Amino acid sequence: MSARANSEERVLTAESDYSGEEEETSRSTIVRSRKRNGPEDSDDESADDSGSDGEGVSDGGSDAEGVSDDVDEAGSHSDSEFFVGGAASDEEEPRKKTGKKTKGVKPLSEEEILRAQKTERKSGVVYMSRVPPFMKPIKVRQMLQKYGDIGRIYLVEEDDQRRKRRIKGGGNRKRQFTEGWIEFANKKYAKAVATMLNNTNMGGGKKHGFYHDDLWNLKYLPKFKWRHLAEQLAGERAAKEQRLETEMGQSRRELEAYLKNVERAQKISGIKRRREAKKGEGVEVKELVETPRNVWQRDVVSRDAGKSSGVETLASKKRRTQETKVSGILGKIF
Amino acid sequence: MSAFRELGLDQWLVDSLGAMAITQPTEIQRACIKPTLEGHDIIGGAKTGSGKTAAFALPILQKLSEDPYGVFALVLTPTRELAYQIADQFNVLGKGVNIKVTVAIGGVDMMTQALELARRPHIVVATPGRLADHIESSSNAIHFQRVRYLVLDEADRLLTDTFAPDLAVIMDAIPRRRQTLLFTATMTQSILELRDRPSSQLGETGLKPFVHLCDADESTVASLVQNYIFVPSHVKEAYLVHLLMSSVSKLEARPSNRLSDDTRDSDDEQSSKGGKSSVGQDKSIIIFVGQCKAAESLRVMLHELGFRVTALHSKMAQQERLNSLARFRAEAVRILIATDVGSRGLDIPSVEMVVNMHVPRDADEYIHRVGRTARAGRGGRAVTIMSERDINLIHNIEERVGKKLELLPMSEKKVLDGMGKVLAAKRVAALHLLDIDFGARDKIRMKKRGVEPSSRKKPY
Repeated sequence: MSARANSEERVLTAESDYSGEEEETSRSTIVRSRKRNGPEDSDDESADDSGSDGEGVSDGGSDAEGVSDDVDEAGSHSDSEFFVGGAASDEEEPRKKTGKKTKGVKPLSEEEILRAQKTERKSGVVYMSRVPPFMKPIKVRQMLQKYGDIGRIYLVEEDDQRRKRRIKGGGNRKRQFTEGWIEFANKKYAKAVATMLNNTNMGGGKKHGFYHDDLWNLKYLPKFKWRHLAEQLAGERAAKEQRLETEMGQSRRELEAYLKNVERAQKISGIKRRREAKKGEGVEVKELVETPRNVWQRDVVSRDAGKSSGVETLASKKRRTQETKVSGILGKIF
Repeated sequence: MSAFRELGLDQWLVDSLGAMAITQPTEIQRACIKPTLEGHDIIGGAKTGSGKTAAFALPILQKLSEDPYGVFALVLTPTRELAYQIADQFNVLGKGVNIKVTVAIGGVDMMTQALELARRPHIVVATPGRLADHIESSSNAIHFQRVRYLVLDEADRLLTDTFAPDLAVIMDAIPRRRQTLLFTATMTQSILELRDRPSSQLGETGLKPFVHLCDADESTVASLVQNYIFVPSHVKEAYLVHLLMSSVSKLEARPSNRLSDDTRDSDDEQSSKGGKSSVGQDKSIIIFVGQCKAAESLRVMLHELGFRVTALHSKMAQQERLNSLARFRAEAVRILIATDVGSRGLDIPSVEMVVNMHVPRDADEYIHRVGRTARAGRGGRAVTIMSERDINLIHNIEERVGKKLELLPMSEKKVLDGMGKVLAAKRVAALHLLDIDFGARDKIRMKKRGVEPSSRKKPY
């Protein structure tokens, strides 16, 4: 079953505790991503459902609140996917079953923290600058796992616009990835794999294999851990959402302010109308005091060399310094 | 005898004009064709859409057919799209004599262009920058020794400091003994002064240039209705959207889609499957803005709101520019957002409304912009959305045009109803521009050249 779980690439790891203490960062919970199931592997998904869930339970990841949080986060991973196999689940710290009512997560013991830190310290990440045509994470894992235990794999899917253009131009409808990161449990192996395989062909048993003549493009990233990647992606996403949220809020306020002003203008014009009417009847009324506004006005310019232009633009000032001016040309016209 | 025949044109030209259903010459054509054939230099001023291109193309083609050779005529224009348009017109009119026209413009491959120029086409239509580049760098491709005609279309724009260095290079490459034809819709003082040059400074012909100006007191055509809307600057877009909604009669029956599939291609898909264009939609609109960035952000905003739009500005790749214009011409898209790069010369008959999102600071520019509609005797409407800062500009324009703009009545309530959506879309568009880092390439290029980015805040 673990092999099956290995091949099941749609298990998503959400590192829920990154925001908290540094020591706790490597603790992770396995959560299934239900949102991003492509139609092509949906059967696969359902077949594996029970297996992975069972694994999750045995790892003690059944803390109700913790899981639901993670699911939320998983849902927000709309444009990125984290892939995790059995190797990653080995790192899971078995957690004590806690009562359903308990709030938060039970803090780890010191020993557990040390172990987690060690696991992270030992791990290494390899960057793949190009993914061969239509190679999926599962294939990457299958090809590399003989060199060492592989943790998580994240391949970046190609840009939506590009994909559209590709398909429009008669391209393949398969999912295409552009670049990726592969986590090895042992950085020694990660380094070795990168130096050994980089710029060699992928080979494989059969010479007519689809990827036989493709070249590996691997680079070991020194001092780079998986959490750096995850942090950056999560940070970017959060910043984007935050920005949109603020902008929308501002636009709402802008609208409200404008509507309020319109209402005020209507009121004032109403008052004016009534006073005018009263004045028509001969009743003495106070005049409304209007403060004239001084609004800065844009200047008129003219390109006509004959007329003097209102302002000299920056560009025209720059050109003035150049030797050739239009007056030199005019003599040559006729 | 046909009216064109009386002007001295050959029968084959009259026939090809007849094939385009042109039988009567316009005023500028009636005035300028004969003197051109007689060998005069020409200064021609006529309103937008009054057939200036044919006024120089016809006599050139006639002379060419008498003695066809190498590069016979050189036509210069300020914009690339206009160069293509003029080349097309030459091709159509000169089909009978198997004419070869080459376009030399920037933004496309220089090598193939040089090869084409080396084949000695009859007529070269060019923008000054690229042509000067060819003269300086691919000298054996250029055969301008015997050029008989030099045409400056939109002469007032070409004879400014912007193009002066390039024009100087071109002038040195072509012979002194030639005919020069200047045409524009907005005559400037400096061009008119050329008429009064002493004869010692005149060219080899020794003839004074022939000047024809059609009635100059009003520079826009009578069939054009000119309106304005006066609103605060930050809600301009809401009024624009309302204006589009009310005049585009629901042609945008497209569900508003999110930014994620915001591509120019998605428009294409729409147009290909949305063949459900009903009656009353044969209306095209050009929206003019002041800056490329404004054009792009307005495009994204309107797309976000579910309109089918396309853009034309100089920050687009040349191929994109041409595609965009072609789609607008073919009426696959009904709304074009353009900067002043599209303000001159473009002849698109289906355009029925021009909207000035920003008031142009040069009144001449206004005349050219609104001249995209109401062409060749058709009707049209120009709406200028002005804000609190544009009062001087509008007065200046009214003075130049010789006509008062009329206020376009709009129901404020309806505009306010849709305002929330518009403001939100505007923000989304701004974010999108930030995301794609619009204009980053130019910034890098400027930095490489060592030019400081302008610190002055632009008014728009």
